[in-house]
Amino acid sequence: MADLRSREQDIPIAQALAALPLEAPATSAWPVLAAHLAAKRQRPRWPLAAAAAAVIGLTLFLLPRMTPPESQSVAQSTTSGSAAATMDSGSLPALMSESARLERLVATASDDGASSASTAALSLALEDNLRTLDSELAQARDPAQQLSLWQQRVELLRDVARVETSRHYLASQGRSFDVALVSAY
Amino acid sequence: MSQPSSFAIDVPDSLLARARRGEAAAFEQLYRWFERPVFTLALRLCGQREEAQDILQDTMLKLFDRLGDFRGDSPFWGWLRQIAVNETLMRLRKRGRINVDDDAIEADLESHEALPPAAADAALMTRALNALPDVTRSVLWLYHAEGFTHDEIATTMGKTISFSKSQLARGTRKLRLQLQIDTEVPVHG
Repeated sequence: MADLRSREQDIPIAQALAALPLEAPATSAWPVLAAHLAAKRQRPRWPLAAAAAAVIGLTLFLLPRMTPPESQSVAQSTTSGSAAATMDSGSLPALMSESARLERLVATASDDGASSASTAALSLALEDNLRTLDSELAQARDPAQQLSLWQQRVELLRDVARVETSRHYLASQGRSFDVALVSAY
Repeated sequence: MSQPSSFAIDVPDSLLARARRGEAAAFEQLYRWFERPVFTLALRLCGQREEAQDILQDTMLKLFDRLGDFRGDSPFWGWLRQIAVNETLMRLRKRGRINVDDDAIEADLESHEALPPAAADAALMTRALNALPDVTRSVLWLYHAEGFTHDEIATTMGKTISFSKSQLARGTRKLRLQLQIDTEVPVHG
């Protein structure tokens, strides 16, 4: 009986969550944002975008020369994953599963907190592309478009995985990713 | 039935047009309106104030940089909210806080849609929410507070619909349990 009375007083979850007050940040982010806006007005955007695109293109082009046999096997394994995904491109769940697998790989590989300025910039540029894709995915309603976007997401994650695994290998050999990049170039 | 999202603010087209032209005052107005909704969403999903502050800043930077991409075929607030969700999930992914083993999906998806009366206490409710794993809390918040469907949650998180349902059921059960524990703590006199 008491349990029944208590159930009658239960609160819907949505109502309980909506009743929580809005939280405010400790400090306003506006001063930083205003400075960013001011700086943006003073510089053209294309050189940064072109530089990021050039770094990504150059790095991905050079990676096979820098990549060790073991890492190549990782690359091959991701490639075989790609082939499987391509063969099974009619299956959205297969692509999502591959995407989740690559995310776990990247999260594990990039969890050492140590990266140079150029690898950090490279990772940020790739992540930026990933965010753009995620935004498009959230708005995509057409199944064919969703499939295409998920394929792009898997390809992009594979690129990130290649960068991270190469960086790890070079670090284990006492070599710098930046130096290897310059040497290979 | 979900309550309206705290993001649901109608932004005049004229304000967006001014922001697109690069007027700082228009951007500042957008920031003032959405500062708390973005910060609250980030805080509820990631559970840490410092991280939520960073997410707020990064989300607003993205908004400023990409406003030209907003097509206007859906509400502006929904577009901004998706940027905030993506920014937050990206951080959780990067730290491996969203990688729950898919094998852990529960077959039993039954869950109550209601919480004990203690849920009306904001402090108790916040503590109970913070006791949940990030991924579970995120699903719970996106579903109940933001009105996402399981399909939308699955797409946004790169998971399956079953995963979303499972996390929701698990989160609801844990929340109920946590609130019951909190209210059953004996008072020592």
